[in-house]
Amino acid sequence: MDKILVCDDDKEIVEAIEIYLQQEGFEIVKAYDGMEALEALKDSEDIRMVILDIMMPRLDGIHAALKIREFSTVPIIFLSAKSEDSDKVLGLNIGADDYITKPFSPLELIARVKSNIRRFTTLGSLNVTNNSLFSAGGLVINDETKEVTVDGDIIKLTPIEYNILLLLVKNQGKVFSIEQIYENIWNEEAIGADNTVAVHIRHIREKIEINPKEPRYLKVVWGVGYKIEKQ
Amino acid sequence: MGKKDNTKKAVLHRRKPISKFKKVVIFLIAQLLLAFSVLLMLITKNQTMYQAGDSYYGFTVYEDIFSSDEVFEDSNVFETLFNKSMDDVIYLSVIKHQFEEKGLFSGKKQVDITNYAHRKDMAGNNGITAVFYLEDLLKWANAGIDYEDAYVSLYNYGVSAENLDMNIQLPEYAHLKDKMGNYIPDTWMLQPVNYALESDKIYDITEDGMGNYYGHTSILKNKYRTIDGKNIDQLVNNWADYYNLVEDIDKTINNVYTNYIQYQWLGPLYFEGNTNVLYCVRMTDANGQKVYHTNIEDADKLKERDLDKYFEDNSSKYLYYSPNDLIVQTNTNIRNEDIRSILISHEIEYAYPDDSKIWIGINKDYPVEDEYFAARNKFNSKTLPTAACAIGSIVCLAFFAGLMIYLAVKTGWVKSEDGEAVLELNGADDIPLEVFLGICVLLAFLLYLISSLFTFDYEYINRIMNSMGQYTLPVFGICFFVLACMLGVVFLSLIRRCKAGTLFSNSLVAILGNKMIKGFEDASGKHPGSALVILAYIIFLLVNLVVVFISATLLDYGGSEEGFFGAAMLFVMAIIDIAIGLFHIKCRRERYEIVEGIDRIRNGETNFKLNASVMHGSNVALAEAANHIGDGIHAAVETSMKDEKMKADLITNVSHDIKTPLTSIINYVDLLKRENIQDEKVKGYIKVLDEKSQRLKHLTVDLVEASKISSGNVVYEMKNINFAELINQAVAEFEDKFEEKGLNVVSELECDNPIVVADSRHMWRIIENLLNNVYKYAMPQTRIYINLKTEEIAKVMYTWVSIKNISAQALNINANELTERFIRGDVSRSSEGSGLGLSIAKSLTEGQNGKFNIYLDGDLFKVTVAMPASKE
Repeated sequence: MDKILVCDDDKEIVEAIEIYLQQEGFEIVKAYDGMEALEALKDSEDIRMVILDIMMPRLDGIHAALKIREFSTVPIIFLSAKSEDSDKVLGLNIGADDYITKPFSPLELIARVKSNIRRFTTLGSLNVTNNSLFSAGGLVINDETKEVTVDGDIIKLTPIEYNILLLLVKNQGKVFSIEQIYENIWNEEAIGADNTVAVHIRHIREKIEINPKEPRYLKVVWGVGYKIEKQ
Repeated sequence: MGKKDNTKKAVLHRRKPISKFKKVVIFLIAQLLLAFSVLLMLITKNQTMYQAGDSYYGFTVYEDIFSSDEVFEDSNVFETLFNKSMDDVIYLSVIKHQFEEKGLFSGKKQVDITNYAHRKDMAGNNGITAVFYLEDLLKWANAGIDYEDAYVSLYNYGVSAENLDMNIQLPEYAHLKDKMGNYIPDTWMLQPVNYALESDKIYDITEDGMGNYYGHTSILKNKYRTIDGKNIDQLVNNWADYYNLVEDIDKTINNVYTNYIQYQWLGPLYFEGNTNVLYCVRMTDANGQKVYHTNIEDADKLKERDLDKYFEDNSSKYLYYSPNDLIVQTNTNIRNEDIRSILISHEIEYAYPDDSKIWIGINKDYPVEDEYFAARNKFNSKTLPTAACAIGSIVCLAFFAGLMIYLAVKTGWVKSEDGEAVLELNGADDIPLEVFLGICVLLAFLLYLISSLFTFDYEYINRIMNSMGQYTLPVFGICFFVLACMLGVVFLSLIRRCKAGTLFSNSLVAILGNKMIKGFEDASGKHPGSALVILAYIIFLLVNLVVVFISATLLDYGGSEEGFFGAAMLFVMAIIDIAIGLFHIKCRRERYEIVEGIDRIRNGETNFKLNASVMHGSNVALAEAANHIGDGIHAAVETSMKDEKMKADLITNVSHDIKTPLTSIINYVDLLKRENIQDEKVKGYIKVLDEKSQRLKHLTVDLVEASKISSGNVVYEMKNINFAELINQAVAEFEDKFEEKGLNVVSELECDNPIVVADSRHMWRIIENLLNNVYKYAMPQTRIYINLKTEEIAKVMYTWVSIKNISAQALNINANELTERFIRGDVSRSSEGSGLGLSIAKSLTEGQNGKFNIYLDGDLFKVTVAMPASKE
């Protein structure tokens, strides 16, 4: 039973999260400000994840995260009403593993929590020795078995979707335009712009991403193409 | 107080306008009166002026205007003519007596010089005289009486007369010397030297210290000799007699000549048949015989009494006079004294001794066409009573003056719309004064010309009268009337100008002067500083002028030192001028710097500062002002940016504060949904809560974004992106949603240049908002047209996308309003959406130098987003 520290100055939110996570089988440790969170973390060694609000009395989430990082590598998910890009960048830069904005979708929260815990627990255990094994963060493609997993979960893809994803994962960080993808996958000259590829990619995203609108793996470079972020 | 009121009332009365028609009628009457007056004057003048004589000797006689004579012989003219005739006759008779023998001119008549010269005073010349023939004297007068200068020496050999020698050198009298045997007349020696010295006949006398004298004297040139062939110096014995004789000869020659001219003139004039004058003068000659000078045949044969009767019978007016009786027998008003005065006036009374008698009369039948005849004709041809004409003329003139004064008072005043008297000027009053006066002078000159032609030049009027006859006066009258009207108009215009005060202000000089002053004022803008500049400029010019003038004078003076000074002054002046010029150029450059600085401030560099301390003149103030403007703008921009930021912060903070409770709401609604609730009603409630809380979530997100964009807190990372690709991607994202509503996308994305310069994430946001809009408001089961096109707008290449759909609801709203915040197609706001979508899209588009437009045509909703096309 993984222990998760949930810290928010709004008690109702903490309780709601507790309900959701308990349903998923997690044990919850509650804290209502940064100081309490730090103390709770120091008290119990086996806390596997921290969900941290940013705006809190006594010690805010950012400082709390900094302090946590001084002694622990436990995954931290920020849960904040601050939705600016700069806030997200800041949060991720000081050592947080994810950033969820309020108001959040409970399903997304659960998915992200699970994903992060899986990654944290399996991190380093994965040995990429197989030549037919491609990965980008939690996304792993086994080209031999034609199996795609995200944080361990097997994803079902159509052949075209699989080929597209494989192309992108093989060329991590490189942006492919719709045309290029089309030519690569169909081995045909692209005749006119078409959104067939775009639709496929949306479907892939919907399958591999927790929140397709804020993709972690398959990112849309608007007006240019698509790419898999190099992890 | 009462007086003031009266004055005011009088003024008002004066200003009381009269009708235009009335004015014109009065004006015409006045001018008619004037013309009439002048005509009457002309008639008067014509009737009272008589010309007499001929081209050699003419004179004018005026008839008394107010005389009531009905007969010519009683008139003033007749009397004047009669007096003149009498004068002539008396004079003529004397001359005749001098020149005639037996009624005919005799050149051989002997003239005793001394007697003639002294015929009045009867003084002698020591019995010395010279007798010349009359014709010789006349010839001498014609040749001229000449004197010559003679050099005289008086040698004093002692005090006795014998020792006195006198020498005179007259070379041209050599022949005389021969004849007389001695150059100097011996007789002269007898004259005591004293006389010669003391009289003024010898002049420029000098004495040599030994009693010898030298001098000059005037000697008469002997052009003619006496009847016995002598020169005058042969008739005298001494200098005194010589000079007396010469004086008498001189006088006689002059008198005879004058009389001869009169004789030649008057003789034919009063010859029988040439005149209506009858005369007879009886005189006694030197031999005691009675001589008759007359133009009446056989007068000498009539007895005195018969002569009297002859004159009484034949003459209309007659007079006979005998100095002996001192009685004047006449039917005229002439008295004894009048005749005496005539005699005295001619200094010829001596010629009428007591036994003389003068008859004179005017032939009552006027058989000869002489001046009496002409004057009588004219007198009898009088058409109008002269006095009446004269008085009429004056009266007309007076009325004319009165009417004109009345018009002068009334002119210009007209009744305005509200019934008050206002001064109104007409077109003629706008003509500049000089031009107007020029016209005025021209008219006056014409008038004068006509008047003078008709009134003063007798010959001319006669000619005109002859050529035009009875039409003379009417023609003249009309001419005069027309000119007088013109002058009258001019006069009234001048009066109006005086009243309106535009007499001088409307002159060319004033207009030009004002223009010049105004030009200066316009150039200077009436600013005191500008006046200073003008003053400085004038002083600069004057100094230059003076220096150039002085140096030019010095250089012209020629001296090397002055020349050097002149050149030095010019040199110094040139340097000063160049310095001033350079200063101005520098000021100009500073001005450009200021303009540049202002430009930079305008372009956003609000904290840019000009260095006012290095500027000159007015540029210092200008630079400081520019700096102040910069400061002001800077402060204003800072404030407004701060305000916007505060606003954005406020909204952000508020939305944060909303989000926290909203999170709880959403979460607990979700928890509720997970409960196994059987009650359908409760389930419905929860559904509503779910939807509305989700909507609230979107709203807060959009609100924060909109406020961020409008406060300029958005960073754009401009890159080349493929617009067509972007739209494909975006449409793919919405595919499910569109399918859900049965919306079919028809896209035509082929265009010349799909590459645009934009921030890709913001572009996505724009298209996402638009497609969202379509999704929300498009009529289900319709087509959505998406087109891409490259086009040039205002010289910039744009690639634009247009998205067209059919609205599900009627759009009863203005296209512009749709992009305003919180505006939606339906005013009731019942549908979902924040109302910020289009506003955000527009702001983002414009933030990236794009153009965002919405067109509404019935239910057709069309949005275009134009982005600058990439230049590559």
